Amino acid sequence: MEIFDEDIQLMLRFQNGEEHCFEKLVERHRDRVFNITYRYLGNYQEAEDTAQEIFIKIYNARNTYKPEAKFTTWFYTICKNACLNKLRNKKPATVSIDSTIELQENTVASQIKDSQAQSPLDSMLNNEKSLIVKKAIDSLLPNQKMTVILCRYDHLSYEEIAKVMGCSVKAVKSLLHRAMINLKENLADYFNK
Amino acid sequence: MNCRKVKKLLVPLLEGDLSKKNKEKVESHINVCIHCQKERELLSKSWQMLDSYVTPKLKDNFTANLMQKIHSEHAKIVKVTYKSAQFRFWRLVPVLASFLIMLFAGSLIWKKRMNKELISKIANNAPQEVVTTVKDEDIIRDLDLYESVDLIKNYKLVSELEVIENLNNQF
Ligand SMILES: [Zn+2]
Repeated sequence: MEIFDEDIQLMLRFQNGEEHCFEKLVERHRDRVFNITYRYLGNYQEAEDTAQEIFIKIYNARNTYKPEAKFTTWFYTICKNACLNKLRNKKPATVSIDSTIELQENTVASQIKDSQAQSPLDSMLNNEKSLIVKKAIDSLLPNQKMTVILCRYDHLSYEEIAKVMGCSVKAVKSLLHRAMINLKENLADYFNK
Repeated sequence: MNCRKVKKLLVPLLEGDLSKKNKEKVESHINVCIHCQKERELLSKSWQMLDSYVTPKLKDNFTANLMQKIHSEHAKIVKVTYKSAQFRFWRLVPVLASFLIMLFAGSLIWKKRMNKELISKIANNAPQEVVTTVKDEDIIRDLDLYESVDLIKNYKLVSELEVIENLNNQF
């Protein structure tokens, strides 16, 4: 992924004490990190907090990064660990009505802001679709969910996902296989309507 | 290929992760099996539908808030390490004080014990004194002799000095 070449330079300069390079890194990846944490945790506040934690970890762990290690692997491993830890420490059954309402408000607002061309009906339908997908992804098992996020939204290769997840390529394929079957079942109602 | 086997290969088919031979086998089955056709369609549609997931927009002040948090946490760490160093020093004071008290008490006890031991030793040694008195008499006598030897030795010196003094007086 060539977009990360510049990150290596920024990271090395940050290691040498150029603090503004870290800020640049944050600006470059804040949305990417937030999308991962949001899709993984399904709650805005938790996702924002976790995104902050991830960048703080990157800030504190700057000296553990070596240029020979791929920035993507290092970066996504920190993201994955923070998400898994957050989910592990999370109290069960806190994602429900609140986050749904919040998502509806946020997505409607951002969609209105982003695409004025969309008709209100389109916007509503898209929002409904988004919610259904969110629910389907939320119900996946943690490792399946992370694999889907890294593969489907961040377009990492199987080899890269295996490195980030700390497993074999075969295990990644198996996780993805089960995730796709589960997603198909979770979304079946929508298609059979 | 039967339906069960084909179902297992549908995901790799969609992911483009099948060998040419297997791909042909699966596709030829799908062409004649409505059930597997529907299954593939559902899998493909649901995978595509993931694109419709719209995530909320992250707040604009995210970076500013983050940098503020990092700097305040950094300052806190510096403060805490300074405080903990101070705390460590003050925490040592009672430890040192109690150590000194224990040392003092220990020395008192030790001294008392040594005195006791000495008294008991003296008490134990008391009957031996009768025997040693003879020896002591010998020692005293030897010492007397030794002192006398000194006197004898000094006598020579004293007499020599006297001679010198007398000579001085003469001149
Ligand atoms: Zn079939």
